[in-house]
Amino acid sequence: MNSYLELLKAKANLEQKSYSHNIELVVLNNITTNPIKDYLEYNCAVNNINIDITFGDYDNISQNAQEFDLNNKIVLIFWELANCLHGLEYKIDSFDTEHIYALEQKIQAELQLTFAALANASLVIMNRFTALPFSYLQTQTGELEELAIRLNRFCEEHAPKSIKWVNTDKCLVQSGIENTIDFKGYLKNKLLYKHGFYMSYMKLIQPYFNAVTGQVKKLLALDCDNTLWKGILGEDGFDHIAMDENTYKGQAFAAAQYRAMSLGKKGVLLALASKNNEEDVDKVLENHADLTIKQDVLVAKKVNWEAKSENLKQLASELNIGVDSFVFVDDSDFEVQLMRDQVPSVETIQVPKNAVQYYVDQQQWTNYFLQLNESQEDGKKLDQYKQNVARSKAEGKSQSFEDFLKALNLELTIYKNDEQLISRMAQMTQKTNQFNLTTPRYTEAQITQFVNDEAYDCFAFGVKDKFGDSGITGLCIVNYVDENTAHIDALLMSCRILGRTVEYRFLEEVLTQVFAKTQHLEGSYIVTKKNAQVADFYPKIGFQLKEQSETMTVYSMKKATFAAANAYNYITLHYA
Amino acid sequence: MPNIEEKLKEIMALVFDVSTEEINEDTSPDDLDNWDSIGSINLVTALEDEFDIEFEEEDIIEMLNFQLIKIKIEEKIEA
Repeated sequence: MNSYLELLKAKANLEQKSYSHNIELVVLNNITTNPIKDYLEYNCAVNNINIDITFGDYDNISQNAQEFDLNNKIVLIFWELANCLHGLEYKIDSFDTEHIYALEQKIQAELQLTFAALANASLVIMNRFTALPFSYLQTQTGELEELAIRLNRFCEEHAPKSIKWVNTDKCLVQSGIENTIDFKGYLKNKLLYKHGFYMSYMKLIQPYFNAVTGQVKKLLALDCDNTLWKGILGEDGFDHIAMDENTYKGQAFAAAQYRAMSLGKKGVLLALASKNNEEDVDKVLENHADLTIKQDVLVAKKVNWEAKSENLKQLASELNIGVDSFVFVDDSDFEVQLMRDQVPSVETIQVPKNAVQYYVDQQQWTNYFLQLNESQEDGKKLDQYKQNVARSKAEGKSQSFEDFLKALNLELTIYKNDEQLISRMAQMTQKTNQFNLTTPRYTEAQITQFVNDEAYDCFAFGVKDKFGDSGITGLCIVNYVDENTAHIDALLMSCRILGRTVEYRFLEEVLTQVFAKTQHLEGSYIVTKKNAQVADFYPKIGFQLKEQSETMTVYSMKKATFAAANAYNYITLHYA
Repeated sequence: MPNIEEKLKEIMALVFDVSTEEINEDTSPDDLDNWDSIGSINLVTALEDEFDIEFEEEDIIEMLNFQLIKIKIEEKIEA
């Protein structure tokens, strides 16, 4: 939203309905702030709040505070220092000390009257005094800045502790002075602030409205790979994930861990939600030297290959708190969109691709968990919650997952014996650990040989959905051993594309192709430390067990028993 | 310029929180509850956003109804 007009349009497009929460707000001001009404109404509607706004008279704060019925209302106060006297910003440095002192006494008296009248309000939000819009070009600290400092100190000493103070200088930094301060509007109509200011201001104060309506988040669910640490544990390995705060690469991720822990200290529950092998993540939690966040601060770990939406719903029922009190952080577009689609009440934060941006954005995490009375909270409830998790059992899955997949517009592109992809295919065999049935490591020369050999077929594939293209992420190499028999020499895919049934659709197509040439197909699962997740892949798709040893299991399938199930028709398939 | 007329109608409806049917050539501050001094300021801000123009104080004084505002916008765009 880049202008007031765009905001008005967005507001007009909101569904006309009654929201679950109601607040009554009184705005007291000594400058013109009326456009804030539209910003307040829009932001509250988005946060499921009906807001009823009354404005006090222009420049009549202390008297309005006495007269208005503020009982159980929220009061928002814009007390603009520069407008305490017409033209104060350019006059004050010409005043003598007594003059400034008299002015200060008058403002203090009005502040006292106002504070005394606010006792019954449910919440008071007031801006700190600032001279920044009128002093940012000036080298030395002027009288207006000095006065702002003294008045802020006075407020600290005399104001009720319940007042929430907002530093509007942050709005100027967030949106830039040219987008926040309207000097022309100020000179014409005392309209000092413009669009960028109100947008940033709403970001700063909305958490208070959410808190006063009980919409406070309680749990932070964190993905692991590229969220708690840089890199993918299953692919890069224990030694190559980064979270060392003394390296540039790791620092943003170390910061994320500290940010999470400081929330934990305030009583926010912390959980992991990661698609990984549980033992791999446990090993990191127990032994990784660079790790800051430790097992004992986590209320639960949902580390498995199930849908994260299901994991979080299950966790909510285990903890007996609403899933709408969850904030979920993940780097994957897919996981974030899936969560928004499946459990829209979970607040999602997508980790930016740029680690520096990630580091900066983490400042905002705490906003979701803002409480009106922070001291009431502590971290001791963690143990109780942990017991809840231990007692609870897994519950059934949502029915609508398939509908979600259908809406993804999945597209599978198969590349058969494609010479262009030789280096990518070799790279995949070298890098893929988890979804990898036999884990062969091939060089480009070997792959070149397979591509050109009649006795081999190399099927690579790429997946696209409405959120984006994952690139070439899977490979199956079939070896025709003799006239009637073929072996699946390699079958592997990147874990980031799993969870969308693409693996089944791909293999169904490969089998259709292979059985056009042969009668009998074998596939084996060779055990490694990392590929446990595919141990039962072949039986799952209808292969029969043939031989089994500790390190290897061989499965087979006859052409007669194979029939394409066509169960995955929502995935469009074509050849490159 | 029918486009300006349509856009103006749409913006006035948004700012004053009424439907476009309630606005015609003669609509003036007397006809709409929200068209007070604050409403005028909001309208000017929104029109400046939409048409990328800037109004002066004397322009605003002359913007007494829909028709006059439309003429003002046309002048500004041509200038």
